[in-house]
Amino acid sequence: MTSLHTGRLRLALLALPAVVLLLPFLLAVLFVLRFSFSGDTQVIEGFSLERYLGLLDPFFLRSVVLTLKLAALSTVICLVLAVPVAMLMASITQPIWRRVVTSLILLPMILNLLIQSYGWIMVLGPNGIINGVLLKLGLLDRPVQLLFNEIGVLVGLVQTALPLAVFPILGSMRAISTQYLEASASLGAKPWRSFRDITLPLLKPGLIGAASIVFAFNASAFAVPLLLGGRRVQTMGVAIRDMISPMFDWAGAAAAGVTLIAITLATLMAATWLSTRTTQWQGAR
Amino acid sequence: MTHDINRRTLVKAGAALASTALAFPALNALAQNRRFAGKTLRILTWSDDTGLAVLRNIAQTFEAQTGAKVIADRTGSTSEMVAKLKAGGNRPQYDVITLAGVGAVALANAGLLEKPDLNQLPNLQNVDQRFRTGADGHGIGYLLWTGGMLYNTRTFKAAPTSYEEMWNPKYAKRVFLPPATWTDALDTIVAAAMLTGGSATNVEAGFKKLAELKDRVLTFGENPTQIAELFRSNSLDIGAVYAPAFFAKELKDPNSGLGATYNLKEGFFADLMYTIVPKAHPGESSVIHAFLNHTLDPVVQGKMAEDVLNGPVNLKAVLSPEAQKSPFIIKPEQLGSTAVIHDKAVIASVRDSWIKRYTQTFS
Repeated sequence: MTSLHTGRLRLALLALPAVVLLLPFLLAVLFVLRFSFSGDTQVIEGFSLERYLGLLDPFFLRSVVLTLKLAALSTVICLVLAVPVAMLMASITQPIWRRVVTSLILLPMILNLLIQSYGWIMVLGPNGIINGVLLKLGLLDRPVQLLFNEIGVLVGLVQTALPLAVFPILGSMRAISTQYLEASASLGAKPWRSFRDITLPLLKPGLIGAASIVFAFNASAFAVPLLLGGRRVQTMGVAIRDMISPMFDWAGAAAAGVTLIAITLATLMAATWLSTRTTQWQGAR
Repeated sequence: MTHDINRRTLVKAGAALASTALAFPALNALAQNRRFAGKTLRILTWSDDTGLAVLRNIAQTFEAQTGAKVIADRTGSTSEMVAKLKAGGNRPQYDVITLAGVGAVALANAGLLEKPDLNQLPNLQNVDQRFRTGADGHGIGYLLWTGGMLYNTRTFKAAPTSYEEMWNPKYAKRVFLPPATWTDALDTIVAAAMLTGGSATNVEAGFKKLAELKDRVLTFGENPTQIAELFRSNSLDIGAVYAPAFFAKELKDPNSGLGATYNLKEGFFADLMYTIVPKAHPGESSVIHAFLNHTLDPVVQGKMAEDVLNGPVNLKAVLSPEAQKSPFIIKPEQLGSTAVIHDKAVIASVRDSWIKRYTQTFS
């Protein structure tokens, strides 16, 4: 047995516990897939496409468009915010400060979402800090609604997904040798030029990874739209939840869930393909 | 061997008999207390304050009175309860479940429930006829979920007296409504219909009236704690139909800015919550029926009402003087005149379409 073969076998054995843990999840996904084709709404019985045809309802299609819109917008905003944060973290050399900044970045993921939503009421609410300041400055006659609508949901999605964007980009950032930037500077390139022509292209794997994670995370978001959308932002996650309770339409919810998975995967694959094509086209130039 | 019956023997025997007679009530009580000793009852109830009140006022007192052990599981919604029971199949984990009517109807229709023997529920005799059973006899009513109006005590010096107040332009963007998926949303549709001369069977004008609020609603109260915070921070003025039961603590706190009223021209809404018994339940029938009867006990009913501001179904519910004066606890005598109680069959037939229309009206 070659050492390569032995190495692979060892890796496979190491990965076995993880596979065993993931197996129930995969089985659950298959179960949901089967349920989505059920002829009955509450038990798996027969085979029918009725649940999928029901998703062609204009109201549900609006949920699909809204979900993709919010997921895409929040992804772009997360990437724009995550790059400077990752650059800052990459520049910190002292371990204590690295830990402090890492903890601050992770805070939205650690803090209970309900508590965060109360924080947002205080900041974005009709009597919150922002409206209070703007009213005091005379820039507004009456409060602007920043919460319980798409704006509030977008803010919440960005806040909760930002850590997921920062760490993949940080990984790519740390892999960039400072020698490239030094060489660029010595040739007279301004910092912005170095960033655009050297740093950003080298960050691409991290950016694609971050975008994929954030998009998938926010496309299936349910708690943030529910808490910060005031029930006016009907994303697919919320629509699926409504199908289960109080409609008891488990098969319909399963069909919607499978559709959400398919749409998210298709969007991610399309984005990756487009990115690869763009790189090839730029390389050919 | 002969027994000499003399005065001393007679006195001794008499003393023994007297002691036994005196001890009999205590002995009897002890026997009653331990009548289900060694037996186990498994219940499923809510994970919110109502569920906690069920554990405190019903389950624990039942244990103390009967010696039975009550094992409680808690969950957040009726649909989860329905799902748990369906997942159990022929081997359900629970003997008794407390849930909303819609869940009871769904489970009864699925053939998963047993009809309790009403002869084993003597407390049922004191329950208002309308609230005794439901879901085709499979559910036993145990408390009323009542919906009224919530208002900002800083804005309103006196409680509003009509749902029409929500349409007052000065409260634009400071109004909240219940979420489409709640029964309270169905109540709100009926309330809007009543304002236009309609009813539960004639709601078209009600939907048109609700549409007028589309741009005036700040939020739909999916999370009661969030609603309480919005009242506290003076961001909301009024909302209905919503259950004051969610705000038992806040209504006692003058700094919360939150008030509630059932005293509305159009009436308030009452929805019956049920206890149900799954088929092939693991526990004994006698224990189950004793528990069901216990939920209807006048003292238990009074405690539940005071704790979570639900309406008692037992006409002889024992309420403290303070509870008697509370405007947030519906008394049995109020249920006749101004309570709007839906015909479950009518609501079941329109529920899905109303939920969709309500969502579309405000989307």
